[in-house]
This record gives sequence, structure tokens and C-alpha cells, in this order.
Amino acid sequence: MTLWRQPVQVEVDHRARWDFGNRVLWAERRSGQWLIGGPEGLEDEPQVPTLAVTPTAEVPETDGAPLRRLAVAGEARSVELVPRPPPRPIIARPETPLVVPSGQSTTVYVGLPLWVGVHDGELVLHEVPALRLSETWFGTPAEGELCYSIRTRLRMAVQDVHRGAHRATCEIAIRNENVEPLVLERLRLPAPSLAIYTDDRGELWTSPVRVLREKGDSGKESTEIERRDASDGRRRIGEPRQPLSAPLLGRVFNAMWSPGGSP
Amino acid sequence: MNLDWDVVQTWALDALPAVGWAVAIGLIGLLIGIVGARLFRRWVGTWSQPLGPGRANLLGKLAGYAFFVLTVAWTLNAAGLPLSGMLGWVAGAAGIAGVAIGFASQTSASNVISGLFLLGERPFEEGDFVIIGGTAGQVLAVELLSVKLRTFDNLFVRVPNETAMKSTITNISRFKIRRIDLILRFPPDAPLERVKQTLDRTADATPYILTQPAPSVLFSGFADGMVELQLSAWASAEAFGETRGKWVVELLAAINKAGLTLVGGSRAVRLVGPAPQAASAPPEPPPEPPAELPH
Repeated sequence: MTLWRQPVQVEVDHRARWDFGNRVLWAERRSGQWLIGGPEGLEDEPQVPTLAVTPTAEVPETDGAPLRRLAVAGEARSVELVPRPPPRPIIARPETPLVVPSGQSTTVYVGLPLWVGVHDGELVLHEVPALRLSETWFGTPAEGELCYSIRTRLRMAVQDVHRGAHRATCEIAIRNENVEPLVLERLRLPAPSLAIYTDDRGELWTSPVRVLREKGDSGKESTEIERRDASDGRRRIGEPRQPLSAPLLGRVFNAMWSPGGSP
Repeated sequence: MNLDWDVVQTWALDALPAVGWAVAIGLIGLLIGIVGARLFRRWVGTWSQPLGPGRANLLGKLAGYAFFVLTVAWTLNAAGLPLSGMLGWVAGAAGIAGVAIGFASQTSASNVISGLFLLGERPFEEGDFVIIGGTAGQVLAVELLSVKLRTFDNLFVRVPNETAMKSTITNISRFKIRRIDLILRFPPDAPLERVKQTLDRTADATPYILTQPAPSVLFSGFADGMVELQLSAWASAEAFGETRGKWVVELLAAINKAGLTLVGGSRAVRLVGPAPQAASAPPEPPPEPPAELPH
């Protein structure tokens, strides 16, 4: 059974608890408000959570104090877990540098860690990363952007991708039209613009990504995000944070610099 | 001398409509000048917003003053005071008063010109964290005569533009990432490879320490028979203070746990800018003076 997008009705003075093994997220309904509790992040690879709705009087003391209170009108309301893409671009690397010669194409895959959102309809009550990701820099000292770095590597075969209840497989088609070979060491994925899909086995997928290095001396790089159609049997369950309607121009590969020596 | 009151009365009655007309025009012109200058200033300020709030504000002010002066000149002309004659009078008066005013307004003029240069060069924008001539703080406003700062201990500091122009300006928030450096001293027989491993482990465990650019250990030199190493890691400028604090705590604990011994003289270092006078407890990002680490 999938854990995502399963609304559960929570009566006043009741608490919905998702137990991830070593962490618990909870949402408690009070008259006119939600109380939200749990960790800031799920840290280790969390398990598929078990869901229980219990009266407030019976909740374990280990749940701790609420992190947030939100004033929301009405009495009983429903709440659900929603998969969210990471809020920053992700930097992924292959096991060893991968060379894409001029005129060649390849497809690589990576398992992207997701953020777990607790939603009341369209209202986001809480959101935590399923894994703690390290921050990294993509660009030059003066220009660039903060991204997340992931430990799992880019894979050439989809079956080699590290999967999990809180990861979505991202398919990246790379084409090198430049005369120079493309040496792939780092790849910037526009994670906030990816939608999340689920297949009939409950596995998660992101929107497919196309990356192109163009002809010409400048070797312009662009990223395009495709929309999956219904024919491949995958259902859209998570929306992108920043929709990307046109190809995104900018560095995609290998923006890395050496800070050099002391002062 | 006998004054012929009949003549005076006749002259006054003849001149009254013209004087009344001139006064009316003058008042209307003044009103148009004040209101129009305000509206024009606002319009220019809005139109020049893409140049940045500081520039937009200054351009708006200049445009407002120019509008007012031109409106007053037009009004006086319309009221029957010829501009050419007036300019001659103004030039004559300026010749006498100019010397006195020039001396008096020398500093202000210098500040205005420096302000224009600062706005052109743009070493900082409103909202940036800067160190100007030893004063550290957040830029509240860049104005015609001065730069207004809020220091990290919440003091208001007015730095004259001329002073800012002459001083070294360090903009702490220009770039998005910053390097944290620690100089640590170890005994000469310390296993330095283990220091590198410890650094890598703590950098990995500390949130917000960037994986790229990677943390590094550099041999800094020998001091008092001890080995001095510079441990460096990068963090986002936004979370610099918080990250540095967490990293130092993690690092010292890890060094202790790894059985490594620190010796006297270890310190945190800053790479740029003088030690700020005012920053005692900076919130974000903190340009603190060098701080001794526990030995």
C-alpha cells in the first residue's frame, strides 16, 4: 500500500501519527487549529510509515511538544502525506567520470531523495526532508547557486538505481552536439521543477529531464523537463515547486572550482 | 519733501491689478512647483527602480529639485520678472555670496559628489552587510550626503559619503559563499593524517558545511616549535555565523575524541577587513574579531 496521497479524517482532539521507524510525524486536530509535531528532518533512510489516528488523551509522551500551530477554521478535517521535490537543485555524480563523445547520447538515472509534506488539502502544514542532504556550491566563487549534493551515483541502468520509499527515480537523457567530448563529473538537476509520479507498483518517478550541450564554441547547455502522459500508467502525485515551462539555459555540467591555497 | 498722495494713490490703483496678477501667478506657480516636484520625484523614483533602491531614491530627489527650480523660474518669468535680468542679479549676488557659501558648503558638496561616485560604483546596495572604515553593519540607506548603517548591536551610524569614499569598504554579503578558517597548532609529532580525517568527518556531519568547495587542511608554518595548520571549510554567507559556531564545536569535540592535542596559539582568523569596532554580537553574517580557541 502506498503511503502518499491517502487522506485520513482526523476528528477534533485526535492525532494522526506516521511512524517512520525511528521518527514520528504527527498532526493533531483541535477546534479551529492544527498542532504539528515531529523532527525537522527524518535523517536516516526512513521506513514506510505506519499510520494511526488516536485520541489525544492516548498519544505517547515520546511524541514531544508541537513544533507549529496553525489556525485553520472548522472542526474535523483530513490530512495526508504528499511527496515534494527538493527545494534546491541537486548535484549528482557518476561513479567515475563519464565521457559522452561528440554527437552521442546517453541516459542516466538517479534516485532523488524527497521531502515529506503533511497537507490539509492545498494547505502545507509541515514539510521535512526524508534524508539530510549536504549543501554544495555549483558555479564560480562570484556566481553560482547553493545546491544539495547526494551520495547516490548516476547509474546507466534503471535497475541499479538506489530506490526507497522516499526516493523518486529521475531519468536524465543527455545529448552532446558539441564537437568537444563531454566529460560528465557533476550534473545539476533542476529538482524544484520536477513533478512526482507513482506507478502501479507504488514506485516513485520524477518528470524526465533532457540535457543538451549545443553546437558552437560557447557549448551552451540547456535543461528541459518533460511531462509524462497518462499512457505510461504513472499517476502524478506531487507538484513541482517552481514549474519550468521553457528550456532552462545555464551551466548543467561540472561547474566546480578549486579555492586554491591559503589566504 | 511733500508727498503728493493723490499721485501715489493713482499709481497704486493703476499698478494694483498687475501686482495682484503677479502674486496670483506666483502662488499658483509655487503650488505647482511643490506638488509637481513631489509627483515627479515619485515618478522618477519608480521608473528608476531597476537601478536599485539607493540610486532610484537619489535620482528621484534630484529630479524633484530640478522640477521645482524650473517651475519657480517659469513662474517668475510669467509674473513679469524677466529671467535674463534675474539671472544677472543672481550672478551678481552669487559673486558676493558664492565665496561665502562655497566655503560653508565645501563639505556638503564633497559628500554629494562622493555620493554620486558611490552610487555609480555600487560597492554595496541597501540591505548588504558591510564594513566601512572599521564600522560593521547593515546598509539602511545610501543618500545624497551619507550612508546610513545599522550596526550588529543595533546602533544607528551615519557615515559621510566622503569618508565612505576614502575608506576601505568590505562587502560581506556580495558573494553567496564564504570560507571559515581556523588556525590550529599541534605538537610536531601529531599524526597529521588523522587531523585531515577528523576534519572531513566533522565537515560531513555539520549541516551547512559545503561539500564543494571541499574542506581543506593547509600547512601554515612552524611556530614556537609547533606545527600550525589552517583548517578551512566553506559555508553559505547567509548561514555563516551559525555554521561557523557549529563547526568549531563539532571540530573541537572530534579532535578531542580522536586523541589529538591542541596547543596554545590556536585561533580563528578573518581573511579580510579590519577588526570591526561595533560588532559585539553580530547576528548575520558576523564579521567578528579574531577569537582565541580553548587550548
